[in-house]
Amino acid sequence: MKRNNKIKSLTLLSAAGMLMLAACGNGSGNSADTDKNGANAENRAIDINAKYDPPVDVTAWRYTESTYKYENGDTIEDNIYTKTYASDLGINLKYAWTVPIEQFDQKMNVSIASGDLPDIMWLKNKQLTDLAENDMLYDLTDLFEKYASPLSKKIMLQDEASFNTAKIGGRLMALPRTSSAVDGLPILYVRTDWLDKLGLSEPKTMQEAMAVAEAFTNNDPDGNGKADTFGLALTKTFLTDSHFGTSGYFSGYHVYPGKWVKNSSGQLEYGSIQPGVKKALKQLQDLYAAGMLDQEFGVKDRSKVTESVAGGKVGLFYGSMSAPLSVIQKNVDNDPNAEWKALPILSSDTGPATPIGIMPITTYYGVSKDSKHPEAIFKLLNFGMQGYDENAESNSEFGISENNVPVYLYNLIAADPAKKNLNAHNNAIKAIEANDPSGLSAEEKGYYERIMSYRSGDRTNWGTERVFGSPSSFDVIDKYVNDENYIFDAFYGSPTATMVEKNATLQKMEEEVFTKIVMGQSIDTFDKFVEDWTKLGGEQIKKEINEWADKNK
Amino acid sequence: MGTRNKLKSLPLHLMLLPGVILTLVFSYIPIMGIVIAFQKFVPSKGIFHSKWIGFDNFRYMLDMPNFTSVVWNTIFIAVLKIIAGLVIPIIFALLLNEVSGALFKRTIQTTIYFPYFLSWVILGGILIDILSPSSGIVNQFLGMFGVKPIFFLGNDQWFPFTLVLTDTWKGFGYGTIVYLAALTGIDQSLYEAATVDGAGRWKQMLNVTLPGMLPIITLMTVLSLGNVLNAGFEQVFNLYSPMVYSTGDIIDTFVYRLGLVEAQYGVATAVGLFKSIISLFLIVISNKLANRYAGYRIF
Repeated sequence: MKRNNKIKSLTLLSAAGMLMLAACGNGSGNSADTDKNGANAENRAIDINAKYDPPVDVTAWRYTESTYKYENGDTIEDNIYTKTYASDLGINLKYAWTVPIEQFDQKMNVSIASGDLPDIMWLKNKQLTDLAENDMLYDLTDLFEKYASPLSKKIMLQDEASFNTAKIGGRLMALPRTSSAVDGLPILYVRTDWLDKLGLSEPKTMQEAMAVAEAFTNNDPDGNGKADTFGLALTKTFLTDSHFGTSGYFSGYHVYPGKWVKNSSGQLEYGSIQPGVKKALKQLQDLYAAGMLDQEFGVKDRSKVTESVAGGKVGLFYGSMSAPLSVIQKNVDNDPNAEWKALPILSSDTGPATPIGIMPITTYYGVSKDSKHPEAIFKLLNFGMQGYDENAESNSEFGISENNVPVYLYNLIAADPAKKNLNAHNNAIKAIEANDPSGLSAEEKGYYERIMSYRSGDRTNWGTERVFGSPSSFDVIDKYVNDENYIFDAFYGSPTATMVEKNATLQKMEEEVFTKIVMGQSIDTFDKFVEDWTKLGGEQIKKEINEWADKNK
Repeated sequence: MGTRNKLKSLPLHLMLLPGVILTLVFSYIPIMGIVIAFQKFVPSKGIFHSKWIGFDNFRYMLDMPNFTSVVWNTIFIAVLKIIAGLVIPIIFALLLNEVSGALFKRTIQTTIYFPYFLSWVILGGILIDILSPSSGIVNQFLGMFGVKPIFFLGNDQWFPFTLVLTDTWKGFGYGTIVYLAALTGIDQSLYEAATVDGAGRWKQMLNVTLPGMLPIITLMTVLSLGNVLNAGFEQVFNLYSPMVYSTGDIIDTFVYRLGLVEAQYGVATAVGLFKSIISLFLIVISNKLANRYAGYRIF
């Protein structure tokens, strides 16, 4: 029993880790809850984690994000993780460079072009493929067998399809940063205090949701006597954004722009050119014309739209599970009456709306072919994975500090078990229902206490309640999972030859046409788009993707 | 005599040295990189071992469906910017020159110079708010004259002009100072002579001030013509959106997406080289024209 609780406590902390990262919207999970003492014990016991003596230098590059915070003089180059790598593993980690995530692609491409590679590299799928094909990466297949701890293997292989995306020609060319796929499913958020004010009930269908959007636009839900509110929030990159995007909306029409889906004959089809898209786009166009969308969404990025939400201008949007913490909390802080609820996405007809997610792996850890210590990455991996060890003592030094600083983000190599966050939510709920936090770890208690503190009136913890507590975004994800009502983008390989060549053009065309249609251009330009897309390389891409699918069945 | 002169000017020539070295290191050595445009460049193999493919990258570039519109957008935006960037500072410098109050003059000078120091990243966010059709101050102002709100950043008809206007607004303070400096170099006795001949302020401007400014105007024009394909990456990158791709996408943003986002180094270099060659061509021609019609040359 006690053992079980510990697993749970550790997963819960990791869940928070995942959540914070997802909150900034890059869809990649990262967490590590590790324990110094446990690490020591394990290092001595198992040879694969033996300390380097004398210590070795390992170079690396990585990105950082705006959610990273530092205290006690920590920097990304010098913190508890780098110190512990040195003291426990004998690894002196030196960063060749670290950049904010926005500049990561450029910096990475420039570094690769100059051929100046560190031992360990954070990579994306495309760069992984490029480097592997040009024989610049260390083949980790055998090292993985030899050096990955049983725990690391277990966690990384939980979702084998995801794990295999790091294999090229059957060889493991990098470690994938595994994480939970269901976390990315879209959710509909609605402002319930506005619903109450206007005497509306929670929408059950797409039509009702549109009626709500209309009422939010026209019936002055904030009561300031000005027509300054609108229904549904979108960003200028709405086709791909996880917050203020349209993935959940299109799912209501059973179409999946930007994703690859299986048709009835088992072939993969590109979601953006399916006939059903036209109807959904037409509806969006009508919404725009009726003023139910921000008339200026076309120039606004996520931070600008977040301002609209925070300022109480909007009451409906599609977002991912972290929205209550990252986006809505700002509104709740500003407005003591604001209250939002997460709803499953709604269907435009009698069939159920099925949300679509993407392969959760966005980051890979590659090792340079020239690395003198290619096995070092496994020592770092095993070290990071010990947080999931049921026998490990939890230690918040490696997790989230007392001042809410997410220390776990400093970890260089991280990977998460599949469905981790969802389990965390369910565990938290159980503890609350039983009104018994006694079996919880310190960190888990922290979440329990945050939810409890919200329930006794502290609105600063509203977001935690609406993600981990109930009703919450994970209630909705839980429903998707229980109903087995979700699908994934069927293509998760690296870009095909034609995609590399043509995607920039095709992507630009798609964004342009869809945006312009929403803003009022004739809906018939969609037909022209389908024709152009097919002609300008789409047909070839489809062929290549289906070849890929045949190979990866 | 000759040797003495050379010795005398030696320190002056030595002062050139840092500049020459910097130019060599940062402008001439990187020129080698253009061979990438003729290769199927693979980073791991480097410049020396990548496969030569002749003009394939250029052919690919010309085959791209949006390439011509990108070139057209670039020229259109850049030419408008050059014209506005020349005319407005000249007019402003002339007007400011007529102002007598030194304090007032300096205040104006500083105020119009100020936006020059703001980066486009910051201005990008500010301009979205200022130019907003629903709440932006510009459209509220226009509204007082009965003008319907204009979606400056989201309308592909307006977008190029928005770029030109905002760019001019940001940069004309700098240009004005250059021309004001040129004005101080004009011989005051010419004005006195003109007054004696009975010329009013207007005639003085036409016959003394403008001819006096002509060399610097020519210089600025020739220099800016070399930039005709530089429509301003930073600015466009921070202000454009899918709605205005059709008129707002320029060569530099195109190269950025190809090279740094899609990692197609060969094609990106080919496009960049294409741009440089046209720029070189233009600057040579404009220098020749300047020499013929204004008797001015920079090389």
